[in-house]
Amino acid sequence: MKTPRIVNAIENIDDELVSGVFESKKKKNWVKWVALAACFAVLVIAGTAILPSLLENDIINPVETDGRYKDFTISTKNAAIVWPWEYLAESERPYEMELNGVKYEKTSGRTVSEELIGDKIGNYNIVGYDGITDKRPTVVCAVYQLKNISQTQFVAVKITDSYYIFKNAVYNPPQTLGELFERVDLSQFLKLERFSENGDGPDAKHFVLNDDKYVWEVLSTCKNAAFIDMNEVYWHPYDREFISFTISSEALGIYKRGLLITADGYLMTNAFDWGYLYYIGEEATGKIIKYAMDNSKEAEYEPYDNSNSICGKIVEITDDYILVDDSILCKDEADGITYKILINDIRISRYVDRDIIDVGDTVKISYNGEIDEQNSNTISNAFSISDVDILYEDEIEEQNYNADSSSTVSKEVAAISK
Amino acid sequence: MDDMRIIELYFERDEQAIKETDSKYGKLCHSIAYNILNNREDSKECVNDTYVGVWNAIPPTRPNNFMCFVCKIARNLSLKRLEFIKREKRSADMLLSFEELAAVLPDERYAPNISDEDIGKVISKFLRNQNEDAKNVFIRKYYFFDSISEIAKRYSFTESKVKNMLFYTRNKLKDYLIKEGVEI
Repeated sequence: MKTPRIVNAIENIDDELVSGVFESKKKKNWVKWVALAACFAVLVIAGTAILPSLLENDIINPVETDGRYKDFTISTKNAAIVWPWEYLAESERPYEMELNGVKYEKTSGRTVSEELIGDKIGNYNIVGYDGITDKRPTVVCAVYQLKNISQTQFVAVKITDSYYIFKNAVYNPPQTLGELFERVDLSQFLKLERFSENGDGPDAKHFVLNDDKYVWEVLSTCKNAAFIDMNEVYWHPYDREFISFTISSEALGIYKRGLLITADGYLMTNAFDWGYLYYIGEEATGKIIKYAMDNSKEAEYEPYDNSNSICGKIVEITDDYILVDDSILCKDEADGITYKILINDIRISRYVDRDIIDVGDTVKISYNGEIDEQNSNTISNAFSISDVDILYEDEIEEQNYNADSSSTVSKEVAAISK
Repeated sequence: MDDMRIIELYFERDEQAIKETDSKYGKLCHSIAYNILNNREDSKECVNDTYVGVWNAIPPTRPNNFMCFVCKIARNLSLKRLEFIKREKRSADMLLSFEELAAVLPDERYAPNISDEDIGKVISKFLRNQNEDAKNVFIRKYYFFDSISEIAKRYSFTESKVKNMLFYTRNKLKDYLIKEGVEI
């Protein structure tokens, strides 16, 4: 077969794209995850840092429970929109502040409940960043300690009516595991419950641990374990055997990060944004892995994003709502349902205001809560909208596309609602 | 040694330049050549030819990105050599890659008035608009000709996901080329 013309054309793609493939991998491991304008992007990067398949959200295959749908895969189009400041929800706005000469950054869009808030430290300037104008909108906010957490690492800031976690942004990795525990008593704030074996995607085996007390006991004996700087050595879990705990903490402002224990003696976590790696020894990791496997039950894969979604074609847009009809996904078009998405959140209304969506577009809408089936299938808590492409499985087969994709992809359960 | 210094060695006609290139980028060149040729001897010869190519090109050329410059020569020479290798000796992966890419833009009968360089620019523009994973997977597959399993392992995706991503990106690229006036 003669070399196709495009093979030679690809030789001429820009150097920065070619060298970019070498940089991106490194970035995912140890470049600091900066607060990007699009809040979801932070979650993607954080989630992928040591657990790249935790969030495989660009191609998903919805599983629909009542049998109306054909087999299909949806792929979200490139959605890295940088919104002007006024179009950002408060939870999405990136902020930083200075406290006693140290820079703190807002950790995520998640709020923290009042019961975790301790004494007030004072009022401080909180500086935002508008990615469009490069301006730095500044507001004065009350800053609080968090109960049982050193304010040298984390504080809470009250912005409008909600508390957000701000984290010490200076890269200063604890040089031993003991020092890490001294800064934050992880056993108090992290529950080691869900974990997976040798990966964390839908194809990996997932487990729920009965009790994590023993794991923390073992870790408490490894306080001298030395920090390994991943800027200096190449280290990656994927050529090792490991278990990977999924860790979340409201008080630390983290959601579904990872804590890895490898059979060859390493502990690695991205709980603090940076990848922290410690060698705790094969004996300790062996004990933890054995204990975890012996004291857990196999569990279903849990996608990173547990929110619900619907997908379909926009049939009407008004000032108050968007109508989305999902009949294009149905085996029988007559079974299609039209959903009424209320425009009551800036994360939806901005798409209408800026004419980014239009009637006829195929979109995925993510929402919290339930659909009000008694009231025109109304969705009142939608928070995200994205353009998508739909590929039907029969089209893939027609093109002789690899038959095994359907079986594997079908395991990638996305929470598309009924 | 940093790339600037290696380039200086070429300009000084110092043969140490080739040793430094080999020590820094030899493995990468070997992997490109082997992915394409599926034969160690042929790959080795291609990599040696690459160094000769670099030696002959610098000076006068002073590449901005030395790594890409070397990769480009290794890829080009390996693809040329592949044309002389019998079909049955080619790897199944390469044959499949060619078939997949031929469906996007097969040969010179299409878009005869546009150069490969210009089509390269259009593809670059297209790739910049893709998300990072799709972009990297595409380049890994069709620039470096990494296997699906290697790419899946590298990015911790399932092999199906990699195939799906490539499938989408190829289809989108074909549409984009048509839209940009590359007649297909």
